[in-house]
Amino acid sequence: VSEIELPLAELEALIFASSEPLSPAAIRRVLPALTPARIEEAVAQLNAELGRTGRPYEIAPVAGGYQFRTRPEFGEFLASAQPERRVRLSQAALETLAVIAYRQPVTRPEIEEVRSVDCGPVLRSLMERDLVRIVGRRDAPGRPPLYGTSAAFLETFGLRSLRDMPTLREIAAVEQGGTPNAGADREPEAAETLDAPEDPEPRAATA
Amino acid sequence: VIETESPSETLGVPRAATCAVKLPSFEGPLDLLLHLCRANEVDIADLPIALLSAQYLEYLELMRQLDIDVAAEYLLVAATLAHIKSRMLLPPEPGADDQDGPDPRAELVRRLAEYARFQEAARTLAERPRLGRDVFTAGAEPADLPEREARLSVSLFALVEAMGRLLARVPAASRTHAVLLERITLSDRMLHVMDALRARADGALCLEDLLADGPLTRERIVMTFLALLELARIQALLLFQNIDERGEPRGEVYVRLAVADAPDSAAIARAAQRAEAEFDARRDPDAAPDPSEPVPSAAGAAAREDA
Repeated sequence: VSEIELPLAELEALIFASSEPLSPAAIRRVLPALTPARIEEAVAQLNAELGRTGRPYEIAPVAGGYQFRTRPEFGEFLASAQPERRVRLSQAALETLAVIAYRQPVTRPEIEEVRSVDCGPVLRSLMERDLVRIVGRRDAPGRPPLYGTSAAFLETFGLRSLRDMPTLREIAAVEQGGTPNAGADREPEAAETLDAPEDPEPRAATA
Repeated sequence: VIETESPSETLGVPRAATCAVKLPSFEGPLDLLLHLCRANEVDIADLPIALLSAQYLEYLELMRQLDIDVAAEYLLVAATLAHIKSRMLLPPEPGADDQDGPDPRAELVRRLAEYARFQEAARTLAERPRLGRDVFTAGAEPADLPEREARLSVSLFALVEAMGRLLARVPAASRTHAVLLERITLSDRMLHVMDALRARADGALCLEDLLADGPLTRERIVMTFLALLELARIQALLLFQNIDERGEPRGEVYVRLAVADAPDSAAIARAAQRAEAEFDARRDPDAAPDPSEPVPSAAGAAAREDA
């Protein structure tokens, strides 16, 4: 598609030297020729090259940007080298994250309605870990806080954006082996489809 | 407390409490019900209420015998199960237009199906390569460089902690002396913070540096803290915090001038005055006339005299 020579080495250097996912906007400030589509193409070429030469890392599209990351197959090895760095999430934390990710913005009672248990402590811990943040307040009595996922959530789970997540419908289909279950034909709520209005900003692109 | 690896591990339905029973721990009553459905290989859509509620109660009884606190949520669902069961035993109301009526199980079935889907969503999340578990970024922060900063949205927790540390250092004497030597205003502190930061061109200051121009008193700490919040709100400065080798924010909170799009001095002065007015109004609601309060009318005064 591209008629121009892609500045592959420069792009690689830029992404390599950034400690956080580098957004297309930040890339374009330095390499004006690189439109988002061309960045995509250039990253694909770079990754193909990295894969061809057997590098243990690749450029991962996460949180609206690009970042060098080791390949998952080296996870065990690296974690064994630095066991204290391993990030753990409890089942409660994962469930709560899932509810927030799909239903955001969502209040605590709404999360608890789904999980049928008190979610206060797990919410607090997710906020302390920066995976969840308060995104606003519902215009209702008491103005309860609304929770949403953060850019760190996308980075942690290697998601480009919230749209990168499978829809609950797809998940239900996998779970049931494709046969419709009790809930599959009953999905009037808009919340079933992931309709995140906007993705969180990728964290400050480094200068 | 009895803990197991994972609630999803497929243990059979607990039948009897033997001594060293390993009880699966459940995330909640719905998790327990889903487990019972799976163990009995029944479809959620066709809940055998009698069977499930018997087993559910059996499990609660087991927990009770093992001295495990049964959370109220479990009892609530137990009551729901009993209620559904009783409604299913009743003959259809004579006045009902058709025999079926609404299935009393419908709401519980809906909640179970919904929860099952979110559990599955949690599983797909858990299976994704996770940063810090399966994939790693280049070790950008060598452990011997603790001064490395990462810009992050310093959480309110960190700020409040930082303020708490400072307040704890206020000399006891100044805590007991309530004599106000100087009237410290919010706008004074805001302007002081900006001056101190400008004097340090590229440098960052910690909260203590910002208080170095006078004695460490409670009022000055609080006012300076409020000034920081206000300046951060109008994006005149940025708040930083060190991160440790695990990438967790830790330690001192730093302040730095916002480089781009920083409000100019006039804007800051205006913001300072506005913040000042708001602050005074909140601290001393009587001082500022509250427009929402009805002005006592002559008629009202007359009525009171009558009473």
